[in-house]
Amino acid sequence: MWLERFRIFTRTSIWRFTLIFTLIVLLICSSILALVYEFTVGEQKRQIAQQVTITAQGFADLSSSPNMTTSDFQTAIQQRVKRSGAVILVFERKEQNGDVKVVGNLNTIPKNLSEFPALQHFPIAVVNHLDKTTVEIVLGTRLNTRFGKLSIALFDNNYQVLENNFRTASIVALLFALVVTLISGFLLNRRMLSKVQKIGELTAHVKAGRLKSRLPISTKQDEFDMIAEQINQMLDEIDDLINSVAQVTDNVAHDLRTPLSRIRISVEDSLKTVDENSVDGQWRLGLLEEIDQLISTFNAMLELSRLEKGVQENSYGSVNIETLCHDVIDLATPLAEEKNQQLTLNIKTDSTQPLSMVRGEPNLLFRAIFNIVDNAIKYTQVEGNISLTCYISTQGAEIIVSDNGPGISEEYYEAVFQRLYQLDSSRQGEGFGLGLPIVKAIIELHGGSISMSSSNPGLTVSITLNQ
Amino acid sequence: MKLLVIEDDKTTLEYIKKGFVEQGNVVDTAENGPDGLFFATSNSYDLVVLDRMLPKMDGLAVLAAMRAANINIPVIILSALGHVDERIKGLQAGGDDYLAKPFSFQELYIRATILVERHSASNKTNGPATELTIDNLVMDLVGHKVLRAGKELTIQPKEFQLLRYLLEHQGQVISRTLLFESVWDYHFDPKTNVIDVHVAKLRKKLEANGESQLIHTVRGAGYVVRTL
Repeated sequence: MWLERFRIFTRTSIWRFTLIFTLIVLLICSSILALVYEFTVGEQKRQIAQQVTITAQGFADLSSSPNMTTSDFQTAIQQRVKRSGAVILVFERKEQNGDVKVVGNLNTIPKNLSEFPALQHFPIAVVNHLDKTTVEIVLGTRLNTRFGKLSIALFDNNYQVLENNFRTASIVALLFALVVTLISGFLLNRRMLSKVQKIGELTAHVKAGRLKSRLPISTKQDEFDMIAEQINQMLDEIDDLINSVAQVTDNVAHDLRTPLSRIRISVEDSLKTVDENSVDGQWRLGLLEEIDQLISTFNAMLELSRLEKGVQENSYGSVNIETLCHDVIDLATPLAEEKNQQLTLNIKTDSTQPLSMVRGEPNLLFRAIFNIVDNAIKYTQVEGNISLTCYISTQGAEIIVSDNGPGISEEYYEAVFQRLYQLDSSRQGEGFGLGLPIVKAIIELHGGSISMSSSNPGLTVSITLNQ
Repeated sequence: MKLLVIEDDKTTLEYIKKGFVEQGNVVDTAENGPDGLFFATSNSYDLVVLDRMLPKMDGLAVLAAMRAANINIPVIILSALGHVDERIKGLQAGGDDYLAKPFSFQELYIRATILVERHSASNKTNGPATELTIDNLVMDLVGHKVLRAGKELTIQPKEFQLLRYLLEHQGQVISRTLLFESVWDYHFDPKTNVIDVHVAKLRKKLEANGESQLIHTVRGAGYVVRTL
């Protein structure tokens, strides 16, 4: 479950955008840092290198001067060391006797030091004024003069620390940017996902037949509100279209009834001229039955529309639900007996003064309950069980029809209440899918509700009627 | 009997008139409300067949005016509006029966004769029948017993009512809808074979022990009780 949610989460486009965005932020951050580095630390380092080069070049020029002697050169080095302690100079000269004389503020030239003009970092041990020896990094080069080897170097230590700090700061900044973008991306994603999920829920509702569902619109007027508004408008239009289709079917049904009546009259009339038991007579009788079937379908369509318009008539009176249930059982029992089914009635009252009277139209309510029971008998196998349970309380009544037949799949629980919906195409011609919609319209006209559930196995239809 | 048919659709009017005339009745016709009301108040009829929607004056208004004029003959209301509320409105306005269009003439004829019989019976003073018979079947209405060839049959209350209604209208073809309305007292077309199943059950009991068939099916119309 958790893993599945995570997978959905990481598959979203917002999450992909977040990742790309994070990458871009990191790239921009790194470029800025690189630039800052170049103009600060880099510049300083270049200046030091330049200084080392200039100093080395000076000594190179000095040594190549023709009237320069070894002692003069040595003196120049010593004076330079005195004048500026920051410049580290080491001069090594081989005496005639093979001794090595060292002049300057270092005791030796490091081995393998790059020759001028190449520069190289190398460590030196320095004793500070507290007599502590520290290792400092210097940038230097080696100059081979005709008097001997000379090493020129400058302290680079401060910039080295600066560089280290800069690097640490950069890593922290980049990590911070990464975390912030990822968290904001996560939060954004969750918000977007919840909004998208609302749209998903709505489409599921619409698919299930609840065409009146609409998306909530906030006052922010953001892009989701715009989409929501458009979806709502679209649903309004679809709803209108469906209503107008219903209106057109009504008109068609209404208009077709008159010519159908005339056909019926003619066929019935023509029966008088033939023997009903002849082939011709039987054919005409069959025709009459077909016409009657057609007429009753049109009537059912028209009636459904009337019921759905839902005008509660003041002709409604008090209906005794208990008597009504007994009457339904009375009427339906032979149907169940034909299939060797058990049809049982349970009346349950949960208070001392139950209210078995419900305001309504007895013919309509009888018809609705009988229709449900009739369906249960029709679709339950031979020797199955069907029960009609009626809970009566002071609030109203709950009527439950339960069977142990094959039932229907949960996904169709709402669809079967839709006009002209046929669950199984093989049942075509048997009521044209108008029975349950009429039942639903009757119950809703009475302010009640109807729902389906599984009775494992089988189908349970629950009707709730309020006082 | 003498009837008045008030109906604006000429085809339907002719159909009804022809049907009743063939059965040996006298039929007057009117094609709008005021004419119909004039006929109804100036002549005496056994029955009025009244369309619900009429030009110039609504069917229910005609009915109300008739009742106001103390004309208490049976009225059958015809209407394309088959809805139960319409039916109630029609009956509340003083109609005796309500028939949704389209209908079969058989149905209208049976309902008309039953209404006329009931009306004339209520005007006479002889008490209600206590026994109904056909062939070797005896129905004891007081003792709630049914005897076939002298043997008592076990019959359910609804079956008793069903048989009683059929016997009361011996020789008349009773439609399934009429049977359902009369015996169960609910008004709608159950659209299933439920009435057939009830009748079949009753028939089986009546015809046990090789007795002759009394309840006959009339295809496309309903049931009739008769010997032969």
